[in-house]
Amino acid sequence: MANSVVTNQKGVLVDLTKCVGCGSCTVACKMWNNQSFQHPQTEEFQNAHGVDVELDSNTWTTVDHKLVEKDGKEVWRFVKRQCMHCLDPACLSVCFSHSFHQTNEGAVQYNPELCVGCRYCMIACPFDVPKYEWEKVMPSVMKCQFCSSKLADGEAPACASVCPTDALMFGNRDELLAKAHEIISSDSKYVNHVYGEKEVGGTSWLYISDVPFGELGFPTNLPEQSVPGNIHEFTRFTLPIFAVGATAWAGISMYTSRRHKVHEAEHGHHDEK
Amino acid sequence: MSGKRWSFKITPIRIAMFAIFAVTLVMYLYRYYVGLGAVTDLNDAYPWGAWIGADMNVIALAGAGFSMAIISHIFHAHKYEPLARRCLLMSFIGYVLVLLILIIEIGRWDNFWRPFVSPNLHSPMFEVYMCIVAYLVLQVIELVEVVTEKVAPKVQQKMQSIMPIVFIAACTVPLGHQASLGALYLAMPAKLDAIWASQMMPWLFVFSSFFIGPCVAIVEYIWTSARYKMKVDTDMLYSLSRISAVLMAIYFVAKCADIVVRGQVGNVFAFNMTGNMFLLEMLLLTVVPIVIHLTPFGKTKGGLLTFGISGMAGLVLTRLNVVFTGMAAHLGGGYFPSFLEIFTTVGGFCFAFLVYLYVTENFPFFYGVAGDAEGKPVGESAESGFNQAIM
Repeated sequence: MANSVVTNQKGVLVDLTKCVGCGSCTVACKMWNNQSFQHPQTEEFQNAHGVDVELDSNTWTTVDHKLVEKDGKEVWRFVKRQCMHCLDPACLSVCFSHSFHQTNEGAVQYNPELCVGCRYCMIACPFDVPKYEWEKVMPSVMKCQFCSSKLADGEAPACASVCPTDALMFGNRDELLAKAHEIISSDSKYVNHVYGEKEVGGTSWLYISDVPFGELGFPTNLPEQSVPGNIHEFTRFTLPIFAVGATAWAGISMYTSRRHKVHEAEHGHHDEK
Repeated sequence: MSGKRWSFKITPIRIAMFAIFAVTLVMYLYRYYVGLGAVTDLNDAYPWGAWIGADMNVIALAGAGFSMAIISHIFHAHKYEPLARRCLLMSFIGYVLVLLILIIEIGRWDNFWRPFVSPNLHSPMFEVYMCIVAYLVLQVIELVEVVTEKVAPKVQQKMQSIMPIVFIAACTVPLGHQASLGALYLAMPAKLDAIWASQMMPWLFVFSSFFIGPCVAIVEYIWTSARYKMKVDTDMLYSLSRISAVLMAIYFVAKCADIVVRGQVGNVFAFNMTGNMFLLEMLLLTVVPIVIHLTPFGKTKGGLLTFGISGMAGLVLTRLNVVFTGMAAHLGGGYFPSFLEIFTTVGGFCFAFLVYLYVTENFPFFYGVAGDAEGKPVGESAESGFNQAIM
């Protein structure tokens, strides 16, 4: 299910050991996308970084402040969350009206024009990223668009461009992946895992960390097979089912019908209603 | 008969159902005016709720339409033909009910037509949608053929040339959406509880929606017979229940194999919420009906009724367990259907019920069991039963 549209796969490598939790990226995101700091449903003012902050239709990235235990002490870690921009996206494959598409740079885009509002993308996303405008009469799904117009111009996304500590490194995904492996193999403090390298077929956003990803709220039970790959195990049988089904029913129908006629002819009447 | 044909007996229960449906329609307008979030408890963590749960169940039970059609039209077991007709009617009403719920469930109802012009062939949801629409069209043709038999025989004669193709198609298309409903959850292998998250899900869904057909047919037959004080042909129902029982046994073995192969035996017998719900689902859908069938009780009216109701309850559990029980650990407990969600669902069922009663009472040949294969207007003999209708 490799997508041929993506010719220039970009990515962002997030080094969680460098993030200081300032939240600049969340502010840059709000500004670039012209979003308020109000919760869409409760209308309360809220920061997009802090403890227990969550993505919503008005907040496409957050920095989640996590108090975790490391080497016997409690330490703070700051986890940026946004759409992971899967290489083989679940949202794109499950959407029955093709509201999602990928750009050349691998940004997963949503087009509200085509959306029916079934919310399958929301429940299918392995990272629970798409959010809904529940407060609206005619709602759309909302999620990070990877600043696709900036990417198309060769620029970094808004969030990565303002990071003061270089925790967000923008570039070509394969180069970032090589760099991530270089970093974790040269420094023993890192967990030996690049999150996003293989999860659900790989994601544009990659993470390295000195604390196990499970403790930072990342789903750790994701298969290496992409969601579309998993579904394709079924959908590839669609046409065969119809073909075999229709042929079988026609064959059985003709056979049983003929058997009844023969039966009737032999007995002179039908004894079965 | 002519004077009475378009009548509808009014009882207090029916008035209540009318009232609930009328209020439901007002709620529909209100929901369209204020939006989805204002009237439901659905939220970002819980995007699918009671309406989806209801739809999954109605479609699964409405599988009775295609499974009884396969038994009577494909395998030419003619003695079940009257039952197949009733199941066709119930199934059609069921699918209309599903669409009725879906038009308020989807967030952008004005975009309902988009999948037709912007299709995604890889989405199981697309297959569900297309097959349901195609099946509704086929069902309308089948129903017209049944109705014109008495009302406009000439039209019915002309339709005969296309009916074999329609029957074959109507027995094939539901395979697509019944299986795809299970395939919807192939997208969440890491979210759905491992007891249910199997690649076999689509096939188990389509198989269970098939063998539930006789259960639905038996329950409806016994209930209708009670309404019209007609004799119950327990021999015929018993042989029909055998079809279900055999397939239930195969399903039981397949499900056990699926659990064992995926190493889920420990989770099933963990005696927690998910394990217990799975055991209950298997008990009601397979074990109880099979045991009833193997005992003399299975040949009695009460036994057949218990057989059917247990199977239907078990099937409902299989779908609810996937939509709610199996997803609860991931989605959390942040959802309970709102008053409007519950009321409109009940209202939808009231509508379905009223349509069913109206059609069966005004087109008696739908429920005619004894003798309508002879072309005898069964309505005539059952006419007196109308006035004694229980409901």
